[in-house]
Amino acid sequence: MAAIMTALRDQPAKDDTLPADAMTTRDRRRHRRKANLARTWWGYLLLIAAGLAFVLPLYILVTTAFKTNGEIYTWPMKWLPTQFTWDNLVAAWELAPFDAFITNSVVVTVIGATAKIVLAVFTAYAFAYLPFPGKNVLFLVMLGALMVPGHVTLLVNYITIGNMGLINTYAGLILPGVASAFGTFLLRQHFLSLPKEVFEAAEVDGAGHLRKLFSFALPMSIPAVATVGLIAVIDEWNNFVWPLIITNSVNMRTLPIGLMYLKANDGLTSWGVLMSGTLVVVLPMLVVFLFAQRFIVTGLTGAAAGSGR
Amino acid sequence: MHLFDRQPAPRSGLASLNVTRRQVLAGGLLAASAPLLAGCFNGGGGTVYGQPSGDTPKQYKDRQRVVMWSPFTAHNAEILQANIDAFNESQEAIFCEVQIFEGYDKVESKLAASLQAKQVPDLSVMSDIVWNRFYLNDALEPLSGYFDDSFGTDSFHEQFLKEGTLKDKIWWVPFGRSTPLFYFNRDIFAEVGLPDRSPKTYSEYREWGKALAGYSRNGTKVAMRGYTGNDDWYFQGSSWAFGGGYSDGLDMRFTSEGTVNALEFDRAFIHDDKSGYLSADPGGDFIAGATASITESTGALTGIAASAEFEFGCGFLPKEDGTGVPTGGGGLSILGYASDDRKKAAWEVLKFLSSGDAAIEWTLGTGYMPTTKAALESEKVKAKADENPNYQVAIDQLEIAQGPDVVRKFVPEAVPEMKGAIQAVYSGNADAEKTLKTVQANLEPALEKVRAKYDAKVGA
Repeated sequence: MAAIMTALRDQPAKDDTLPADAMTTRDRRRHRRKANLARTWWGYLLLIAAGLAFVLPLYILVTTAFKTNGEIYTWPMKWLPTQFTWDNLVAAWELAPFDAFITNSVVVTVIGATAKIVLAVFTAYAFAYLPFPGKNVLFLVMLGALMVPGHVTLLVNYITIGNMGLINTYAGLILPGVASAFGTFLLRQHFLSLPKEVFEAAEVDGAGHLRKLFSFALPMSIPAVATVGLIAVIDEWNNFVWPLIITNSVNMRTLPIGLMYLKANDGLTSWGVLMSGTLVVVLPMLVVFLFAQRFIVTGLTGAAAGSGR
Repeated sequence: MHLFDRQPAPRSGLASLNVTRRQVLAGGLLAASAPLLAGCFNGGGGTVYGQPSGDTPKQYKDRQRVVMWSPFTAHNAEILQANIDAFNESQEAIFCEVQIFEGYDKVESKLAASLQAKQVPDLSVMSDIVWNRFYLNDALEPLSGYFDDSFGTDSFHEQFLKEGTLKDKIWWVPFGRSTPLFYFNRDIFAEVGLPDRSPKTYSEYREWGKALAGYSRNGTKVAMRGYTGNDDWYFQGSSWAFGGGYSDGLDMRFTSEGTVNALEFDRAFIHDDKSGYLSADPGGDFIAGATASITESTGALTGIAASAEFEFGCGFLPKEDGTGVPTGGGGLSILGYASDDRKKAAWEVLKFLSSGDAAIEWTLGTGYMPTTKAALESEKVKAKADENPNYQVAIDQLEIAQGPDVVRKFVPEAVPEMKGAIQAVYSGNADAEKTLKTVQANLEPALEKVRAKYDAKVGA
């Protein structure tokens, strides 16, 4: 979207106040831009189309949340709600205890994501710098874990957590997800790409592993750690299947599960109510993403470039 | 890696005990199969599984706790919770907690998983095509012995109770049953000059579809019927109407002339006449006026009435060679693996929900069929039927309604397989007969898997 904005801003503004005889560089540049536009108009078109594909569903989500039922079902579709209403949000709150859902989601996300990052950082450091027996085999096993889809381990995890007596608890919600193969992998690749000389110098100065990790490796890896953190946060926040089967009672449900309380099991779903609930779920992640988006791009590309070594 | 490279391999500890590898393997196999064997004998009774944890308010800590799993969400969940709250306040021995898993299939998968984890709820709502599978696996408690003079079997609508009876025992009592209705947009029907009723036969329906062709409203072409691809329930009904069906006992009838004709009718209706289409949300399309008629559950009656900005009517489903009205929806079962105390308490909850005001409130609030004596004889329900003739249509139609065919109930693969088939025909214009032949071939092995259990536990 940002790209489109810039593109639109860069288009020459209609400028009639300029004297006709002033053939300045500005004019020439304008000519060049016009030629550029003629050559690349289809590029902009594609950009706009791609942008719309992402923005349109979001727009429909937001407007539906504030439309009355009659307007939602009107055909042809109404692009703007003529009667702006908060009723849907109120109804969603009355149907399900969203404050409890928000608390649970925040607890699970904060603790789960923190644990994930801490574990990933330590494991990645070990894989990158410590010599220990079976390192490559263990790394391969970890990569294997990356390939196994979560649904395969779902039932096994459920039975394990059940035997531990942790069903319907925060511990049960968080524990199976704290080890992140993806995070470990990404960080290890990034650690390997850091200049060796720095660590050699640190060793000469008598730095131990913890000092090397906290004073050198981590400060040089902030984008990568931020990426892992952001992905962990979004994963934990949006996680659906695991919280669905591991929790029983309403007071332990997280936000994505809370949404299902709004969907009618039989007959007609009230889309306005469902969409306003969805808005509550989506908004925090949207904000987090907007703030951290800069890191995630450098983090992902950085790690990808580093993995070549 | 280095560890093993540097040292010579240590002598195997097993070898020093003079145990051969074969013996170790045999021992391992035996150990591994022990839980499996134990699993086979679990059904005999006496095994008690734990109760799912949850959220018990302080004032109810000392009571016998009953956990009820329910698929009902949104407004239906509110009405159920109000009834359960009333139950908790009505006595001092039992506390019932409702735990919600959206939709019948989520309750089903959660139940299957929790049986593995040896934890079961005491009471569960299961759909009419799900409880049978748990019955086959000995997970349900026979309810016949719980009925007494104060709450006899005549508390339920006879036909619905019969559906939950196998081998002369009751396993499943009706709760939230529904049946499809024919909904039509009266405004559109009047403008096109169609009669103000549902079509008597599918052939008549097809003629009406042709009469509607070319009609448009608000700049959009209006179709005669929006089909759903997410549920084969309606097709189960029309297959009967054309003289076919899914099965007769365990003998499959997918390729019978009637079933093929029913699917061919839908295909021609959609692709030859262009009168119908596969819709993502038929109810929503109907409310928006994009389709003139739909078949939809009675459970949607309240929702459509609240959202539709036009006059709509309800009628019986069309007939053809015969009637074809399926019943659907849910019922209550008690889980056999719960302890006796829990089962007794669960029965009290079941009794409360099926009698008195709770049964009436449930029927009125949700739009589900009245299935209990309390609801059927209640003045309030009668008043609602008088006031809303559409609701009366649903009650009247019950007389010709029937439960699903055996294969749809007992073979878990049947429903997904049929959904795939109707989607292929509705959207892809696939040949009806070929598609149904594939369905029958695909279901053959799945059916053989349940045949032995079915013969033993349900009988021919």
